[in-house]
Amino acid sequence: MNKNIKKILIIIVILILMAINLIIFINHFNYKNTEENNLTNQISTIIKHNIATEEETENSRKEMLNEYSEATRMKTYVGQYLSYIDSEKYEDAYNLLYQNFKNTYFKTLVDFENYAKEKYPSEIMVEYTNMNKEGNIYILSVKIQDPTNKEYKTLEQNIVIQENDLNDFVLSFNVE
Amino acid sequence: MTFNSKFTMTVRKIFKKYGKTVFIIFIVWLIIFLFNMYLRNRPKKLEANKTYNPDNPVIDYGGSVPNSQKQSVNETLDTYLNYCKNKDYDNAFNMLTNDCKAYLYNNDINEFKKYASNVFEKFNNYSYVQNYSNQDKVYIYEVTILSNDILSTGTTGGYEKYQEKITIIEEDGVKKIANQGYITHEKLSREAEDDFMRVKVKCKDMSYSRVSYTLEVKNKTDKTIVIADYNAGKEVTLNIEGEYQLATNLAIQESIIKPGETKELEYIFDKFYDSKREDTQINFNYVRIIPDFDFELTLEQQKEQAYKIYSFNINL
Repeated sequence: MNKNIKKILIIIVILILMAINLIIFINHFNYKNTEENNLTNQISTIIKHNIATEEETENSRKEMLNEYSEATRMKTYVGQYLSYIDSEKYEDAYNLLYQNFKNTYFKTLVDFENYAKEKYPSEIMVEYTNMNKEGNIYILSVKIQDPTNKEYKTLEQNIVIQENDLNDFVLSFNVE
Repeated sequence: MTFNSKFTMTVRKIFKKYGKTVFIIFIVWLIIFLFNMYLRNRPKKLEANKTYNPDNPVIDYGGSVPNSQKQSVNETLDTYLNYCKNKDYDNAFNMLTNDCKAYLYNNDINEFKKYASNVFEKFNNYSYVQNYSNQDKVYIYEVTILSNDILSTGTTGGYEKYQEKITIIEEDGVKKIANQGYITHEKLSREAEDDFMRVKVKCKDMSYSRVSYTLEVKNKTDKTIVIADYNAGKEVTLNIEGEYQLATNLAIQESIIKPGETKELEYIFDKFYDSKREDTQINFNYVRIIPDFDFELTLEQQKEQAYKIYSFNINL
């Protein structure tokens, strides 16, 4: 009887230690996977305002981006830009544009705002159709649609991105 | 004795007997656990992972550019490209190897200027390089130049791109450039002879995707020798360890040697510079010796009138 209790106690101690390790490992693994999957699966996604919430600190956003693949990061940047348009934060979107691009096509914020109001739908649904690289410049081809308005003609755009560092990027797009 | 007192006794006995062991196991586990916690929570170095690495070769037969060479190789390439972009073609030309100047431009800077202005005045904005292949201190890069700065235009109006292989190679202890895919020149002194002709292999010029041999052929007879006139198939081939490559320039170069004449001929074959296989022979597969040669003769008429038809091989 005594021997059995000894064995049981030792097994219980070992099991508790193993269980603690397993719980820590599973929690860590799930955290990483859910973050990556949230974005890789969004080929067609209605852009919501939660992509870049105000509470997100710069650092935690960088940590999140650090976990993403190159392609997912670029989609995140495009998502950020379009979410600003979608939520009518035109100045924030304008600030993401590459300076030389602004100088040529949108000298003022008003120019850009007028263009955005005319070209982009009120509800943005984006589909990524292609992704190219020219050195360290990325070109994402997107189809922008309005799921709430069937009259809206799909807008096809190339969005050109240069990433200087995590969460530090500039972009431009083909103006029609 | 109740179960509780039995249990207490047993636990006491266990700790008396195995206490030290359990304590050591617990301490070891605690250290591992705390170390793991530290590794998880320590500040991570945040750096964007990117697939673009200009110094990693696309084809890695010969390995990467050594760290000790990366800076000087990239500086040489940047300097050359900047000269070209700034239309400083004299300095750009001076950076070319002597072999490259001679083979591609006949040592004439005007020929280089013609090429450079065609490329760099149309494609002069954004460029990037990608290491392609490295062999024995020969560093081959693919240079891509875009027709406009796509970040400034957002690809409005589209864009074109120009690509060529540029090699960085050492000449007299200085890093030099060989452009347009050209790599290097090698003098040779192979000879082959029979009763009808004597062939000297003078040199070979290597580009990234082709090799060219320059031969001097002497006709020892009083008859015309037709090595190739693009009438018969596979008239000149290069044997690369059993694989035969047909000369690609037969249509633009007739290999017809008049009686007693000595003629220089160049044959170009497709072959990648980083291929590990050796060239073993140049083959003249359908040599025709014709007494009264006429350019109007058909292949059938050549066969009828030929004094001899045979094949001739030059070992390399």
